[in-house]
Amino acid sequence: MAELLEIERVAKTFGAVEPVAALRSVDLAVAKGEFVSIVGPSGCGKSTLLQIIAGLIPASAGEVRLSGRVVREPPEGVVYLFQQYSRSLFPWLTVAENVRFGLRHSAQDRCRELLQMVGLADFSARYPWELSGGMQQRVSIARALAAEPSVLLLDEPFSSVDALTRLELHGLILDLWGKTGLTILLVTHDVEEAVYLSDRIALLTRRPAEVAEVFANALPRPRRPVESREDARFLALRHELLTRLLQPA
Amino acid sequence: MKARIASLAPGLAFIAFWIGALEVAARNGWVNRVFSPFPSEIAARLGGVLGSPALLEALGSTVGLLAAGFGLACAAGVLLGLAMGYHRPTYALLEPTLELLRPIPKPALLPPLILLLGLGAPMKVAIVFLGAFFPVLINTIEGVRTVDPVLVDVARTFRRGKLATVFRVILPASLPMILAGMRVSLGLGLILVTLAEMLTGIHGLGAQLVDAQRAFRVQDMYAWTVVLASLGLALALSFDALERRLIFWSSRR
Repeated sequence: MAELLEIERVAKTFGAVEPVAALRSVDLAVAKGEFVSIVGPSGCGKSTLLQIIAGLIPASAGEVRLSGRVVREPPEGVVYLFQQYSRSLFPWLTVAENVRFGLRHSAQDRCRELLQMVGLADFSARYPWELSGGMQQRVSIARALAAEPSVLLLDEPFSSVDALTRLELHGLILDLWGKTGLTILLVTHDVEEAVYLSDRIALLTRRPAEVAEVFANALPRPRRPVESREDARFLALRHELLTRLLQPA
Repeated sequence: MKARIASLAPGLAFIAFWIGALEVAARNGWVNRVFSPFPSEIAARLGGVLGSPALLEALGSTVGLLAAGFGLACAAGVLLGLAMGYHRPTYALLEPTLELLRPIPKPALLPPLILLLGLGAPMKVAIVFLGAFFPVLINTIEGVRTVDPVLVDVARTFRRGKLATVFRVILPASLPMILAGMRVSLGLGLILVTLAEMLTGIHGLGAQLVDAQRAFRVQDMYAWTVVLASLGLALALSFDALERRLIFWSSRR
């Protein structure tokens, strides 16, 4: 399988005077079209890793390659979706204008199409702060898709919405992933979310993080919000991951 | 609207009480009648001033000079502030000069400006500019520096260039701070244009005011004071309205 994204011995240390190691050495490869989750204890450097992959911050050592090219700044075709939708949307722009910010060429039709895909066609003239948290995150998803990425990096995008909205957003992301052939890398601390959504799950150790193990997910697709969560394979993988995460250091 | 009137009522009554008290005090000779005329006399003189061609001439002159100096200061302050806030080397180069010039009480620059530029409009525009420039500049730098880094990272992940990032993300995001600076600048600008007109005594509201005082037309002097106060109030209210339209989003995030 041709690897689209290769993460090789990536390390990150913050601070020069009293250096704090966030990532020891992370190796991970993601194939085109895959949905891979990264889970780990809180504060283990998951988000840092994702920001390095996005080209937003440099690695201290090692490298990230996208289609064989080393990532040094935000590469073409990769969009990073921020956890804090309320901070990442532009409050002075309407929903449609926010989405259009993602477009490479301002195509009105494309913007409408994207808003339809995320179920917000009727809200294009509203401002983000007039919408609920879940709807705001839909706007940022539409804006991310506007850039026509081949890789979508999701940094705990469902962590600050309520439980039901989270399930809806899971459905939306799986739907979009199925339609577009996107490659998705998701960082989350929610084991169930990781098992429900992904093909493979990379479990990180405590900081400074390394990949402890990569789990293949045998849970069949299409995933269904209720039935899939009762599947023996879902429960077994959840059990394994939670046990590993809760192990004392 | 009704609630707004109700909330204003006590404050307006307070003002009315003091004007009434002044009227009573002046009529009873408790204060010097010559220097403190009846409010009713001043109101009558104000009527005369409002009807005179001198008003339009003076108002036009003062507002024109203020607009020119303030407008130039806003444009220059915002552009330089964006550059200094966003680009570290520019900040390092200019910051010491800025700190040297900023604390100068701007009226102290009037004598040299008069020598350099004369008594006409260029000197007055220059003094308004100098007074109004620094608050806009300082607030723009601060505004740019306190833009949420997430917004800048959004621009980066969408691969927007530096210019687009500055003008489409950083400028609007720092607009609340920039406008706060402009509000201070507008007040300073009005003070400085009035002062310059008082010193040169040719055109404008400040000149009218000082003319009336020197000619001992005390009631006229107070009438012009009221005109200047009203101009200040009108400018402040207009600025409020503009601000509400421009940063309608800022209190609702």
